[in-house]
Amino acid sequence: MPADMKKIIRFILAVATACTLVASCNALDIIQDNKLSASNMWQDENDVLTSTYGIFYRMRENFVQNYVNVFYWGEARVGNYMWGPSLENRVQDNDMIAVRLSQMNGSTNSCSWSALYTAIDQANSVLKYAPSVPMSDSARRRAIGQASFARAYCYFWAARLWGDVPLNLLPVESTTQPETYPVRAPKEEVYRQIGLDIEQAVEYADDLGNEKYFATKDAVNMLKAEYALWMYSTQNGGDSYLTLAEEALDAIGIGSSKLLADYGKIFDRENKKNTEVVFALNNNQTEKLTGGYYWYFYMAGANVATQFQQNPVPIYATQWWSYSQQFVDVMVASKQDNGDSRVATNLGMGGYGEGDGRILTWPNKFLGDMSVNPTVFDCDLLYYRYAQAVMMHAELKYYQKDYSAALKSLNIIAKRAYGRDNFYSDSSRDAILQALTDEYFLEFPCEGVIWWALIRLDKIWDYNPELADKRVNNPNILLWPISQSAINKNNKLRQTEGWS
Amino acid sequence: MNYKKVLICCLAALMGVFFVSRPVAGAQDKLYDVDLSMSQATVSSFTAALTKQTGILFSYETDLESKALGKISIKEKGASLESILLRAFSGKGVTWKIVNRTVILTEDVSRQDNRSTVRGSVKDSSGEPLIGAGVIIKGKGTGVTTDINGNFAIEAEPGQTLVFSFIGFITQEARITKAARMDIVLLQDTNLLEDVVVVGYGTQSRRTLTTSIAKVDGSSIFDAPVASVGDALKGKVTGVRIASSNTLPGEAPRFLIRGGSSINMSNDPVVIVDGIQRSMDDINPNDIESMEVLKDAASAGIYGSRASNGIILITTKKGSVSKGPEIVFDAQVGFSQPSRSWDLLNATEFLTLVRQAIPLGPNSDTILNGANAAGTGNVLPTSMFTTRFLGDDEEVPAGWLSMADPLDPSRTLIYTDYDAEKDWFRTALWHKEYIGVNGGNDAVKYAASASYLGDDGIVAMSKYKLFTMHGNTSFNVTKKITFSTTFDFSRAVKNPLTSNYFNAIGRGLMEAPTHRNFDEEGHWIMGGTNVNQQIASFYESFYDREMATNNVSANFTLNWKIADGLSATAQYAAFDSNYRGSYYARGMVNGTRNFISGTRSTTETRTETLRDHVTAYLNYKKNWGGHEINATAGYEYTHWRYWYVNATGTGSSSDKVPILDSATEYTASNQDTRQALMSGFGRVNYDFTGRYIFSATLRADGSSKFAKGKRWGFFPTGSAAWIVNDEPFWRVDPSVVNLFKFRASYGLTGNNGIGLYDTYGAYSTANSYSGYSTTLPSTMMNNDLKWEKTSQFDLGVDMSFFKDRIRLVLDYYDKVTSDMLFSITLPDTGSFGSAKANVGSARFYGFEVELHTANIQTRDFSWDTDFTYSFARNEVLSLPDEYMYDEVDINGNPTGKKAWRIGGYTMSESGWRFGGTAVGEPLGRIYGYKIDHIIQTEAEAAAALYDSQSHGYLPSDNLSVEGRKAVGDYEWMNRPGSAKLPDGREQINGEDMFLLGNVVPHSTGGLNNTIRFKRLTFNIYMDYAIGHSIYNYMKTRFIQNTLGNSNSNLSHYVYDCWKYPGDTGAKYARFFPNDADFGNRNFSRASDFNVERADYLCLRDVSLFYELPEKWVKPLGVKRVNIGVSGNSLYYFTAVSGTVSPESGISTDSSAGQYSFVNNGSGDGSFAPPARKILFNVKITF
Repeated sequence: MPADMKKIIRFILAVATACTLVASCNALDIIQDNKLSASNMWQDENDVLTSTYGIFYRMRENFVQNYVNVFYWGEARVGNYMWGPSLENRVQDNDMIAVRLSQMNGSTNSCSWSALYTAIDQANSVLKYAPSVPMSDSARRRAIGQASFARAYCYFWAARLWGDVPLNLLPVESTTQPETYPVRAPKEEVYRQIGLDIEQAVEYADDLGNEKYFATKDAVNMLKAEYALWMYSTQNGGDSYLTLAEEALDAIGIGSSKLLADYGKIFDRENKKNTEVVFALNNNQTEKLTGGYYWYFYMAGANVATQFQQNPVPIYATQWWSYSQQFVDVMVASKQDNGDSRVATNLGMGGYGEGDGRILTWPNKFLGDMSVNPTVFDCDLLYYRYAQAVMMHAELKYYQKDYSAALKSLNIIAKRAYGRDNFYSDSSRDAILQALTDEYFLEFPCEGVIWWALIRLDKIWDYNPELADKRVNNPNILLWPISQSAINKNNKLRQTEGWS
Repeated sequence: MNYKKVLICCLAALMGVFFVSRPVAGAQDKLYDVDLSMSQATVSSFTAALTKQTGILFSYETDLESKALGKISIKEKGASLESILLRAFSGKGVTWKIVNRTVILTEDVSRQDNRSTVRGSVKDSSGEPLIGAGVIIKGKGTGVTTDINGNFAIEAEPGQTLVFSFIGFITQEARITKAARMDIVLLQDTNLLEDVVVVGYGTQSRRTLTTSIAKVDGSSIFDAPVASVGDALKGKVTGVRIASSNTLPGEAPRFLIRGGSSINMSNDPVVIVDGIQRSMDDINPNDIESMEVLKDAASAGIYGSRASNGIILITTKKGSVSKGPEIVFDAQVGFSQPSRSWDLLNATEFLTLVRQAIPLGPNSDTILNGANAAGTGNVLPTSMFTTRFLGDDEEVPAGWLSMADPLDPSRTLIYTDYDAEKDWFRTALWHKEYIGVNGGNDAVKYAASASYLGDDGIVAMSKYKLFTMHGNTSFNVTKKITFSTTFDFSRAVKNPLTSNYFNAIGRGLMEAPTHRNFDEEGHWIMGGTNVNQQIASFYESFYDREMATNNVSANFTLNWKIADGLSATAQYAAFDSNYRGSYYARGMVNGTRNFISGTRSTTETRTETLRDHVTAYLNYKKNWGGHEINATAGYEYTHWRYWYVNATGTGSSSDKVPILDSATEYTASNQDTRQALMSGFGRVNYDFTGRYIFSATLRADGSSKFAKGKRWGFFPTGSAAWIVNDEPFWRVDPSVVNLFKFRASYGLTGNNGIGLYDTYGAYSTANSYSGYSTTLPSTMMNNDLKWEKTSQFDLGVDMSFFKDRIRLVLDYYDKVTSDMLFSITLPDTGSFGSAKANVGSARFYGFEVELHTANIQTRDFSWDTDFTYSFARNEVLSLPDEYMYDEVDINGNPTGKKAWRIGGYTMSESGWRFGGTAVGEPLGRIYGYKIDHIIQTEAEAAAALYDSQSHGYLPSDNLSVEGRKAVGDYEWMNRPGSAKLPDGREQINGEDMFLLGNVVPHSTGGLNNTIRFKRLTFNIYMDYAIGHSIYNYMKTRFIQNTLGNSNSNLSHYVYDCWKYPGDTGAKYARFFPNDADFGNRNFSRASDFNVERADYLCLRDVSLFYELPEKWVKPLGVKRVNIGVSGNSLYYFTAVSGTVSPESGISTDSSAGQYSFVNNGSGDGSFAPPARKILFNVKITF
């Protein structure tokens, strides 16, 4: 037995030695070195800059969604005056009908803000970490300026759409911080924050760079001007906002020089980042960044005679949206009566149908890659272009009651459109208002601009009288409901008053 | 720590065991000084002493070790080796020779004059000879087997002991006396409770088991007509739900043991094969010695951190002396076919129904006259469909059909008929060949096998091939040291078409029967407006995909009997799984371009999972008086490494080089991750007089997945058993009740089933924007993550009556998981959709019944029945306060209580909430719309509730008015307090969903009957599940008539649709052309139309086997030949429609929980019919 005991002790010692050896390898301290994690992120300039680019990647992801984009948010609700189901096959899904007729509810896809908030969250991260990460000062200013612009731009969409919205200024990084389960902040607070962010972006504007797929000095001023006009006209902001708008537009400089002479070329996929473009989000096939709402306007191959497919009729799956007959008539008249050169770009029309030669119509701008069938959607989507600055300037002068100045700016737009100087000459208030309205319709169809312009000019009720009826029951008719899924995920959220 | 270090550490652990094993000494071949005096020397004691003094090395067989040498006294200086050996061994029955400076001792055979031939027979208790029973001389490697009459003859000496063994019988020993003839009767080992059970780092007699472990004997699944072990176990193990969520060949079923432990993370148990964690899918059932399912905490607790969802231990076959050298050849061949069908309309039925229905919807003229499935505007050569009117002077083309147009009987429709279901689902060849050898002697034991399985697959492009090899050897190096090695290799190859089965096969099945498959030149014709919809041969010709997995596992085990009762085991095991995925999409075949994509996409994927595993443990066993102690303590270290590389290329100009090389554009991705688990464990069993048995285990696990400070988890368990019938006070006749045992156990187990980045967070750098790289957060960091813990209480009774003729095992369990690892859905106002956290707790409880009865047992006829029943329930106990709200009742009145709920729905009006995951409610519920009735009159339709999903199209005004209803539509149930329209009217929307069912059955089990008559064995097995439902999305698709202009086919149940006002007997709402896009969407939402009760009874296995008489096979030199026929998954008795398996409805992804439902249109192939197999078997034993 003593011999056995010895053996036992030797064995135990051996095992213990082996175990200690293994244990001493710190076997459980494994840092995965093939991925950025919280332990090695936010340490240098590269982390901050690539995160800054990420904001715009996220922003793009938001606006290329099928039901969430500037078309649904900024134009479809103009309603039947302008839009309807395909004149060819008369179908629309419930979501489309709901938005066109302002009958949205919590389950309407377009009510989703989630991708907008991922962009905001990414901007919040950059704004949180950029000040403390060791990096060059100019890069820091660039990152903060870009993030401030992006956050302001996103919140500006959010506040205009839903009014009160969650106002997160810090990134959501844990399940326990207040930002994770936010409440809807009063819209006044949101608008105030947008103003502060714009100020910050303006302050750093000289460091932003000139890349039009990101914020530039002009883009920041465009946002500032649009924000100021909105605050003045819809939020009782007072005259100080007109001063703000004037500052911004002066900084951009109003004139014809920045307008591209050929209207059609502005949207050309082979003429990206052209002179007229101020801010765009990039699509390109190389990086597999494709998509955009314009596929709704494209015909199914089955409706188009083979020889016209992609020449000139763009082909995709189903035409779900097209101009209303009324608006087609408006454009045709503008072309026939005034020689409006924009109509060829804004309206494609002809007897290209299979068989009986029915007339097909579609918006003919933002054309994707039609060298293949079906189309690949690689045209950039434009968010600000110089024509908007000119129109906002006219609008500003209209609010300032400086009608001759308004006329002057309107005629810059009109000159390119109709090829004539002083196309507009009546400087009465009503005539200016009508000219502003008409030009917003004819200059910007499909760009997500018109709905907001009509609200600012208080003209939406003329073009969508059903909204006026609905306003009786729902004073928030110009806002949107929030999505039911957002409510289901966060107990603290309440539906927009007046909506279900 | 890098990989190299791990290896060194692993080696260190093994070396630690080696270096103490046996000392080695120097040289001889010279003269020696010896001073030895031993009164009762043995070979072992003398050689040891001599080696110590002189360094002379000896080698001898273990049986010589204790051979007595009597008195030895040597006192010499300068003695030669030869003289020493002569003095020690001469005349003592030992002879020697010197080889390579080592003295080899052997027994002097010439002196064994006692040997004689011992004869006898081995029979069972009924007097039936046992053929092939093993007869072995104890302590020797020699033995024989009994002949056809059960007789044996063996050369042996009196005094030696013979060991008699036969599978299924209790092994017996008998000492050879002068009487020579030995007639032995072996008793059948029917007592399951005397069985030995693998308990994790050891074995234990079932009789003394204190925990809940189910054992499946390898012999019961030998020859099972299945590809994967799991398929052979459905319903057979109590407390375990085994269900095939994916019915394609090569897809293994999923296991849910006692409800698992988690709400929305994986509930899959951990499978440990011969000591290493791996999957069981590629293990050949024929290679399995036994499978143990550790169900309660006390049994699984020895595996600590990974045990919350239960543990399945698989022990593969080891060599056996008793079996003698045996070669088994086993072949199964037969066919498999779809066991279920959609019963789709043929072209004539389709045209008759759909042409009459199209006028109900919008654009009917365009559709009826257009190039559509039921339209007549189809023209050669381009149209996808054939339907058209017969021309004035035209004959019906050969192979075409004709009928009078139901809309205008004066005109004749001509068309072709295509059967999509036959195209996609076929009868396929299924075969499996197996050869195994097994045998050994005292020193070496071996088992080896190879097998090949080929399943042509009943679904187009679902071929599956599996090749396996298994090898095990063990060597008794000395009497005390055994080394053993096990190797397993498998190669599994699948050739599936795409990863999304719904897109291809789902849509393919919906192909209209009037589809034209080829044009006149033999080119494929486009399948539908959705490019993925094509016929089967299109996919078969354009897509090449191979998914091949090679798994290698090997282990090397050392077992050392250190001293009486004390043994040590050390094991190094490695598992290496290599996956290769190759995919190529042709751009052009036989002059037809690829309609789906012309980019000639090529993808190559390689992954490797490597697991290194070191285990070392000590086992100590001691008896004294009525006490017995059995203790185990050990250490374990596991290191995982995972590599992934994937490259995709597109843009090749031709199909000639279908690999990445020819592509012009590339994307690639890569991963390399590691994790480690370090553990210490111990177990003590104490048995007092065989009546009171106690057991305790403790395991500590450290996982690298958690942050420092949260890494270690401790998992203690305790259990006890009381064998009541051994008590002196027990007065019941032992022939009536031969076992009555109570068991109770309680303990903690854990779960670390989170992702590698859930603790540390992660950022993705994979995306670029306009030429700039981006960094985006992808996983939320949570440093506070820690082990999930599950406590489980188990109460069991084991009973046996009438000498084991009736055996009953009952268990009740109640487990509570706390600090639950949970994937929280986050609000959509941040970057993360979800995050992992330890939140809340849930309870899983139920009971299990296992009953075996030997109904008839006679010499020629026996009938045995096995029945299992398991009942499982669950309830959420707590959720974090982020999900807390003030409860209101259904009318909106505050109840004053707090409630907790994740997800679900909130009533706009009353604020009452339901659905999702909530405290006090069970998991796995399916919500949807509930049918109130079918609208029968215009007045009813006008007064019907506004339905937010209804297009409201009426032919009378040719308008789609949202929310409007028509006669024949479903009127859905409205929930009080749900959302109203702005004008105050009630409406049907998402708030009007009701509980329609649960994804997990509450009851599962099986019933087996085995009847033996002489050489015939008949077996019939059925399994069942009760209480679950399936969201049968495909049922919706075969009544919706979608895919463009009513181009999708329908199933015969469309005839059960409402037909006319007052049709109160109708089963379903009205049929409407393209209901989803233009109709009132009676069918497209989850509702009690498509959420079907999935209770089932499956006729799982029926087999008939015959053992050929020996007189036929003996002349062939064969021991036994069994032939038979067996059927598998023959028929499901269920209310589930179509091909959909009533076992499906849960995700096919093993990392997902089993409590969230999926609809079978989600692309994973779960709508393919389960395969019914009919196989012919031959098993030859040499």
